[in-house]
Amino acid sequence: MYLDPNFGSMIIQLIIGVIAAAGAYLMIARQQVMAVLFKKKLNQDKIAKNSCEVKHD
Amino acid sequence: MIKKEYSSYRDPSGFVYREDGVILRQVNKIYLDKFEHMHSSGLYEKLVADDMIVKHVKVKEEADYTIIKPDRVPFISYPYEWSFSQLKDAAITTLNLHKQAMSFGMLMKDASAFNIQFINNKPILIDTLSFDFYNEGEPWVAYGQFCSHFLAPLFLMAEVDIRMSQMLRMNIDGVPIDLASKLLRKNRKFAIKQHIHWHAKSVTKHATAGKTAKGEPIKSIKISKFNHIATINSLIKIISKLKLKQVSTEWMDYYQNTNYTDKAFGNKSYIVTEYMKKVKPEIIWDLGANNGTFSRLALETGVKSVIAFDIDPLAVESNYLIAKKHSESILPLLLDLTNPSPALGFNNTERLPIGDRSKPDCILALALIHHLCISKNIPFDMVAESFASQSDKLIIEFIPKEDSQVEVLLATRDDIFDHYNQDEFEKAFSRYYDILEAGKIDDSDRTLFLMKRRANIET
Repeated sequence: MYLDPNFGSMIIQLIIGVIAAAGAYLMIARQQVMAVLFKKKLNQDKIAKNSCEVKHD
Repeated sequence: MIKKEYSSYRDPSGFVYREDGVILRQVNKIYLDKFEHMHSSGLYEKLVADDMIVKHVKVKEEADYTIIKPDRVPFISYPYEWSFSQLKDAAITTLNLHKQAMSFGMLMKDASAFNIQFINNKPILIDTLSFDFYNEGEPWVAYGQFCSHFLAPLFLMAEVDIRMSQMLRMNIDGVPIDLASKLLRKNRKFAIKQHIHWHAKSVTKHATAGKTAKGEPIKSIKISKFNHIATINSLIKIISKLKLKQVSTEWMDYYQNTNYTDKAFGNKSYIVTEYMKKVKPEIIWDLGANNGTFSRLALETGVKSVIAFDIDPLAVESNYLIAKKHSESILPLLLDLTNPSPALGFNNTERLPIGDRSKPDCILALALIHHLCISKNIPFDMVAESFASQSDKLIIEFIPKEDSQVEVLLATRDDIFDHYNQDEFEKAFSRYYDILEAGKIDDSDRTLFLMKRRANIET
């Protein structure tokens, strides 16, 4: 049985992308809540890491 | 004379070839716009600065093509020769290359593990033509390949058995996702569900869709840039957290469980050092290197680079982690000398056997001969012939039958090895080598030999 994997691999990315994005939003929200609750300065590095923005280092 | 490398026939963007022994890469017309963008956007400069891509210089620019000369990679290794952490590091480098490319308006169109090589234990991309333009909303075209080449074998090694890395030797286009899903069927970890089980189901369900519609449906799939990068970040996190289950193998504590006394070990180290100073090799192959104890000793004597082979995946893993930590010029690789990496791929020319990739100045074969000759029944002269075909200098340790390590090997089998003695060993090796020196190791029955291949031996 030969399977052309690419189409199925593309489709699954839609689902995985939504789950990953939801995780990233939750992580950012959690950090913001923690920062407010504990009046801590936001760790900008951590937020940037989870924000999924692409930046030049 | 131009000789095209068989391994680069797949990509229409260009190909690698050798001209008078120099490795060059032709960039074809269809790829020139991408190649120029990679340079003008600053992507290439950034990747070079971060040691993520092999450097090159342009040697010829024509209207229809460009020729570049990449820096030479000291030793080409393949994914089925890597340890767990080597494959992990190569996977994370591939993902970081993709992320970095996206910040310059490009992406990785390939995610082949064969495009990554190790230089001073740092994974580096050798395929300069792996980048394509990124169009907003585009999914990662190489995601399926990434899962087959990296993620599936890593999950299998971590969750089933470290020896699953050898699946990559059988499947040089990567472990099929449906097969990985079957092998991991009892595993319900969420990451494995998503990237393996659901992925396999999706591949099976849509097996014909991509083909019959001639690619049109693929273009209709859109994934936002945020979701795309979130997926890559998630993959990096998943892979970074992967750990081998705590297992022990025969060799991982070899130097703790050895029968050497401190005096014998010290004297062996001294003799090896003296032989190394006499031979002055630049590149050595340490066969049966275990965790690299003697590879490190060789570096201290002035050796520039060591390829440290061992049959045990955990010993290779341990050696790699040490070498990486100390940035040593040791490349640990998995190799069964009695079944070494063969020629693989189309026409058996895509992936080369170990011996066809490069030759060392000297072979170091310590505490190895009894495993080859007694455990594997290989006659002395065949071992000598094999070593002589690779290198003209040899440092080898002979372990007699009286040694407790040999006694262990003979404990559960008939002693059919009448010829296993030092006289026969010297006689067999003398057919291929001149024995320059022999030094008995203090406080043991073992002897170290320094040999030089005979002038009349053809290789």
